[in-house]
Amino acid sequence: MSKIETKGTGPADASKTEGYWQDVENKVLDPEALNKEFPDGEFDSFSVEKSRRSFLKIMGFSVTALPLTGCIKIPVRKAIPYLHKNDTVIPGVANWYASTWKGTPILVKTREGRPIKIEGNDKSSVTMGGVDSQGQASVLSLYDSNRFNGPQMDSKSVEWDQFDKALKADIAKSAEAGKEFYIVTPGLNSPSEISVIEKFSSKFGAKHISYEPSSQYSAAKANEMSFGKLALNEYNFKNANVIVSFEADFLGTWGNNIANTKQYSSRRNPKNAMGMNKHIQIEASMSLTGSNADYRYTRSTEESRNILLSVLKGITGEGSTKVIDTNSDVVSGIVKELKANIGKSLVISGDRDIDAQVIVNKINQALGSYGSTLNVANNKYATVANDADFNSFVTSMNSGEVGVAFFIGTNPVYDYFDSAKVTSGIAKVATSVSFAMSADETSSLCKYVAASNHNYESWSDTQVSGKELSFTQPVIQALFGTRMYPETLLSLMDETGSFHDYIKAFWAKNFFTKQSALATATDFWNKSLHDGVVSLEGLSPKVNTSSFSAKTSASKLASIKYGTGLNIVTYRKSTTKDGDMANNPWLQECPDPITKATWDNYAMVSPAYAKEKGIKSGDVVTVKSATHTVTIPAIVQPGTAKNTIAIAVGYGRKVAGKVAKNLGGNAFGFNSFVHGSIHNTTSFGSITKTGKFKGLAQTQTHHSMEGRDIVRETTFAEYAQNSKSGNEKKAKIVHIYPPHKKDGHQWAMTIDLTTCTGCSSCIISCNAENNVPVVGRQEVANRREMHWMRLDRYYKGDENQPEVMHMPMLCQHCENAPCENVCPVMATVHSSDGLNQQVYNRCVGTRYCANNCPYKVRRFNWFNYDRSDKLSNMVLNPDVSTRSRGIMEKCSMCIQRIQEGKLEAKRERRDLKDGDIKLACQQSCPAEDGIVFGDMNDKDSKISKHIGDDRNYAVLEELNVQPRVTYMTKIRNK
Amino acid sequence: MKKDFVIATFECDEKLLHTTEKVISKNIDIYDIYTPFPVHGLDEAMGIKRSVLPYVTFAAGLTGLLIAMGFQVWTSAIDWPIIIGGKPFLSIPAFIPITFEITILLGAHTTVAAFLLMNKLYPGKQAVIIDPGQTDDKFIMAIEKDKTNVEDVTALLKENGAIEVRVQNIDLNP
Amino acid sequence: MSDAHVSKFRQKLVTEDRTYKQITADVLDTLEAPPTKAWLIGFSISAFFLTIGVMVMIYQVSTGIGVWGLNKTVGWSWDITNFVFWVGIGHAGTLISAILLIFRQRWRTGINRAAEAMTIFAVACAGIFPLIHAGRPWLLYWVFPYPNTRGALWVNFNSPLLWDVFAISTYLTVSVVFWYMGLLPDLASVRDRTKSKMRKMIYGIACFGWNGSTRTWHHFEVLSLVLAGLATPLVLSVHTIVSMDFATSIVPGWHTTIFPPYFVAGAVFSGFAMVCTLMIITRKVMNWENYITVNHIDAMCKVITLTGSMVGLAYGTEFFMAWYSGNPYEQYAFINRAFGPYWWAYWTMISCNVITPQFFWFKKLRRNMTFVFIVSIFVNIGMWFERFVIITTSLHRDFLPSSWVMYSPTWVEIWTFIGTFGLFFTLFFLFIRFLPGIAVAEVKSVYRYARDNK
Repeated sequence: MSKIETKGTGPADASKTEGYWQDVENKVLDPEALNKEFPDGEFDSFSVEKSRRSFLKIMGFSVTALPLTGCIKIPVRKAIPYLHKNDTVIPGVANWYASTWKGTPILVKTREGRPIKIEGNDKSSVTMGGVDSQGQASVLSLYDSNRFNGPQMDSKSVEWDQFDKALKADIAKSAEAGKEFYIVTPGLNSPSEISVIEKFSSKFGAKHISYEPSSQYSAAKANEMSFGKLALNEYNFKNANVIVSFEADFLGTWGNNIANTKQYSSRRNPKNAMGMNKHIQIEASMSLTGSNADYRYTRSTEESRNILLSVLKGITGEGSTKVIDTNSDVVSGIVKELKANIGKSLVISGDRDIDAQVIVNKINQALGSYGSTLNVANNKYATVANDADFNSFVTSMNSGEVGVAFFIGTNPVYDYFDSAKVTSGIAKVATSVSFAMSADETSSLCKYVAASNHNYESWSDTQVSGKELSFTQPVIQALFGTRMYPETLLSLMDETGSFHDYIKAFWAKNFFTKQSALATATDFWNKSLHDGVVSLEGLSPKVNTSSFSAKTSASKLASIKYGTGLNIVTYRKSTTKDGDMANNPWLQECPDPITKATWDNYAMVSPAYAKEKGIKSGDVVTVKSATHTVTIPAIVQPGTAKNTIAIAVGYGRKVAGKVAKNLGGNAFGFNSFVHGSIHNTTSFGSITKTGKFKGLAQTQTHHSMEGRDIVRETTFAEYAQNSKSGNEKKAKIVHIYPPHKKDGHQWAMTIDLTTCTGCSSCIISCNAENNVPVVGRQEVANRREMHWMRLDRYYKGDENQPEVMHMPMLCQHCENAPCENVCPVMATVHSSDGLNQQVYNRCVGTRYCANNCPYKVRRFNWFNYDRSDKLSNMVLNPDVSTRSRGIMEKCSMCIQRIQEGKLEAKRERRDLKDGDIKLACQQSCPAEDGIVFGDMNDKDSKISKHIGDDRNYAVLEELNVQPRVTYMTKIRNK
Repeated sequence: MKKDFVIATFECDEKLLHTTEKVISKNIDIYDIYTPFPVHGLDEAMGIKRSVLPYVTFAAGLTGLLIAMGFQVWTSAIDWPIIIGGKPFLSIPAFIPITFEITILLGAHTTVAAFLLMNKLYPGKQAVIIDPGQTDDKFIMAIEKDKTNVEDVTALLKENGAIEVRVQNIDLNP
Repeated sequence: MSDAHVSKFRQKLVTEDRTYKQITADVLDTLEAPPTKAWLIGFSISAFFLTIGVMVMIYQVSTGIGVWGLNKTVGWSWDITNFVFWVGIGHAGTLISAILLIFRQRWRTGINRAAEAMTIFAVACAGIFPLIHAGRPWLLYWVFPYPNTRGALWVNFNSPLLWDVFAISTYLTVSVVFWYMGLLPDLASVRDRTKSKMRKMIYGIACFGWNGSTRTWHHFEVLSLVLAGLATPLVLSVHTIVSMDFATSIVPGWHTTIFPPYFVAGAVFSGFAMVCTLMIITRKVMNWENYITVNHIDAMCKVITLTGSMVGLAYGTEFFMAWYSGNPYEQYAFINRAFGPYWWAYWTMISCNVITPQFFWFKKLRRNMTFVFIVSIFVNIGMWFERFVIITTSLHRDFLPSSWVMYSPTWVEIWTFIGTFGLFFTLFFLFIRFLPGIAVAEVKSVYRYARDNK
């Protein structure tokens, strides 16, 4: 994979075609649309210009095309017309550019100038090549046809210079009036962006505040109270023998989930020299992290805070104990574990209460965890989202003190708990400006819309950790008439030169000087740009974490009243998170790792409560708090505290693209402002059945393994005794005819059920790599999702505190494949290197192969799925053909990647090395060795070692289908 | 080509059978007998040789068997062997059903074809109809006039229950 | 000597004394006369359902299988259920005309013509489903091994579906010629007695110039025997192969060695039931009570009871084997059939197929046309459910519980099925209107023995 360094360039395309993804659903409901053999406009002459086939042509005249397509005028320096062919862009060969997505160093794969795939940057010492599902899906959002096509004033499109003039005038006016000027951004960690904002603020006397709907303000504030520094924590799970997590979904949505998963999973490997870590989770509703815990305790927010208090008491003797008898053993257990691992333990809390976080700090401090398993990430270049600041900003908006408000990449009208107050506030602000990519609730209320670029059209930089910086470079020409927000700020300051120049200068000034390896600033710049990540020392000065008292916090926390009603908890799905990417169909259709539901949010009810109130999954219920109400389907979710209702935020968008609009209900309203920070819980809630029923679009509806040994598991204790434990009984296999000879490469895959967290990043990576169609809510409800890679999730034991098993399931590439025998036309056959191949062109669609597949991994094209959105078709991988209706498809082991790897080796006249070929799912897996792929004929390859391991087993091996995909037993540290 | 025939009409198949035996025993050879349904024993009585159809069937069936098995072996194991479900290229048991079906197919259709050829039956053929009743309730015996003595035969047939005996000129291929 | 094989205990095959002429007239006059009211009503109803069926199929093929209720786990349900159901129906015809001919069961002559016709129509209905159930029906010719431009890419001779293609096409074509050869003498009769020039010409062409020559008759009888001899193993092989569509898979509930005999018994069972249904209607509509007599129905009822009991035995054996095999998946599959979410389908099947035929142990009931008619309907329902149970309940919960789903048909599937009934009866009504519905010549040939043995 050649990673060629160039400046991000690409074609311009302003196509806005009708009919976005959800039309797939409409299609199914509308027989008329179904009758169309081809998607709309397949053959109209104009659309051909936008189609993949003639892409080079477009690139050819892109420069001249820019004005026509109404894009901003770009200096020719940045556009590379194909008339003079760019020698770094070879048709048919991918270019890889290093960039960053939301703090994750990544590589962007572009083909003929189109970004089509995101992969982790394995040069990063923090994320080590992992990406999460959002990162994987981000490339599709780039091609969202709902994006702004240029700036707007009073919701009328204008030209940028016109926009700048008017805005400048308004800013001046408000300054004269002596009104306040606020800039609202998310918590930033970009050195150059921060410096631009600082520059801007000082020039216009603006106040810069950071706001995130699901901020970690409480933790940062706690650090300020404990150690005098408002900063977030940086964790090192590698050193933690014991992890006690209160409500922190650190593998899914909390903190740097990718880095966390990498470190955490490395300690899940039972062969790790430091042994296997022990993970205790206390939470009110089942989270991805909780589902991976060795010991998971379902406890309401109140109970878990009491447990926290008692642990504090147990460790430090400080504070009061409010232990409910039933929890005393839990507490004593935790205390025992922690005390036994001084300096090697870690207590985390996702609690958004500041005092709770102070207590956590105290416990960690007392256990000597600082410096070992965590430290205060006092990053030079970081602003922390501050609930208190924003709260007061909202107040001052309403009191009419604010003259100008910039909302940069924030959407408080949607995601602030008191939306009405923000709305009324913005109405009182004379000059409100939204820097958004596409229309959202906030931008629709703002006077100005400074349409901004997508991440992959932008320049930026990121401080990833105390030791690492990462670059963001554009990988395609801005598709619409948008502008990255720092450039807007610069032009408002009448700065000449682009943000690209600014950032270059900034790096020369601040970072080039910090290193000695490279002589000239240009070399440093080019190298940084090429590698993406740069490691430098001294980016975060150490914070003194000396002892302090948590007494007051303890008593404050103990004083919180919970009431008798239901406790409503809002959480984030690891896919759609806060809803800023809600318009991304890949994310919407990716099943939630726990509920396996798609295209919706819902009220999680505990089985016990459901029984009591006669609530069934799919019953539409009205959830009420003192201030907020939503009406959504209920889902009976094992592992939910009895008096708790958990609802995912990120849904119920009112102003959004076709996919997200009016999908589910907005749960942000259930957050509340308590003790100086926004809490994601509220008491005194109630739930009532409406009598309506709305079936959930779940990809899995049966949750028990029915006693079949599908997921084989054991405990660490037993494993220590016997490495075969849990995997002793092997089926007796009898061959009635000799197997075919296996020479040359023989591909195989192993999946480690111990390290796999079920994060579902592999699913979306597979979607992107293999052009897996999105089918829409209705079709998922019809049990026809097309995912080649799926994650089966099984429950075991007590439904109040179930044990959870995640099992990635994909085509097992059986040597004795049952699907092959039954196909009358040889549309599915076996390759000499051991792959089960599906020949799309030959398939007539009898579906017998799917019936005869014991793993049910084959997917049938029931319709011609919607590809009418020409823009989103840009994301298609040209190496993988899209499938028409009536044919079967399934995991191909990324045959195109295998081929690429083989050709690469051949071109370089060498043998294929182990690890040359990485499959899409494997590449994106944030877990260490979660998925291993390779040539089992290569005796010292990793795959051979894994296959030889005592934990290795084949699912349903008794059928003697001889799968090439095998699994490693799940080990719980008990 | 036209010919004169002695035509005897019967209304009862037993009488017909009886008469036929008599006529044959008198060494008068009968040109043909037309009946609305197969009168059992009549063919033996007329001394018609056993039909060769079964041999045709056997030959055709055998050919079908060999072709089918041969073709399957050739395509699966010789012409383009492809790994299917880890099975050997030459998996004979899997070839049996189709071999069987083709055997039947060829056997049956060839036999039918042979039958039609032997009796010169084909769509649109003009049938030799001596009496419209011969496909209803009449049994017609035809004896070539010049191969026999009309008077004697007429008498013989009459006394054996022919309801009518006449000499008729018949176009054998209308 | 030709009488050597005639039993002295033979019951009357034609209830009243008729002359040959009368027999011909009784059967063939209907072809001359204008259609009766009953016929017109029956025909138009069938044609109506056929039309709807055709429209629905066009919609489905032009849109995609997605308009059916199938999903990622249940890839077959109503489509293949209906296919097996219709093929099964067909078997009775061949059985009556071939096997009974070999066993010299002379009573078959009254009903074999209609039964054979029914076979052909049923197989035609069956054939529709493999065609339209495919994702890309317009490419189905690929199942035939013809030399092609893909470097001669052949077909997969390991696939039971391919065996099916050959079995069904052989079965259909052989049944057609068998049936048509039998028609020749009767077509000739029509030609010779009709007044209308038009008919004379058409039937003249159609009967291949048949003239009842004894030489032809001689070959004809040998031909019938040969074809019967071939059709008998054929009919057994066809449903054996159909059963292999399931038996050769690895799906619990499909992967069973008992399937071939079990399916053949079931086919004959359902087939005879359908023949009863049809014959009871026909003998009324065409007033052929003298030819399709109570004795015929009685005899068929006995076959129904026999095969019904065989099927019942098979059900029991399946359960026993599931338990005895010790295979958890197999065991679950059968528990799930009887007590899972589709329990109602299973118990419908049991009560219709195992219980109702037992009434035919009583002669009184066997000879009560209304009762027989009702039971025959029940048996047909039961046999449809048998296939539904085997196919759907085995698929919807197989190895990995994560993929377990429920299935329910859409209106498209339902109307497609009704449409095939439309086709079946439309063809049947046309048949009894324009072709000799009873094998006149054969009836005559056995009539003598009937008469002798009065």
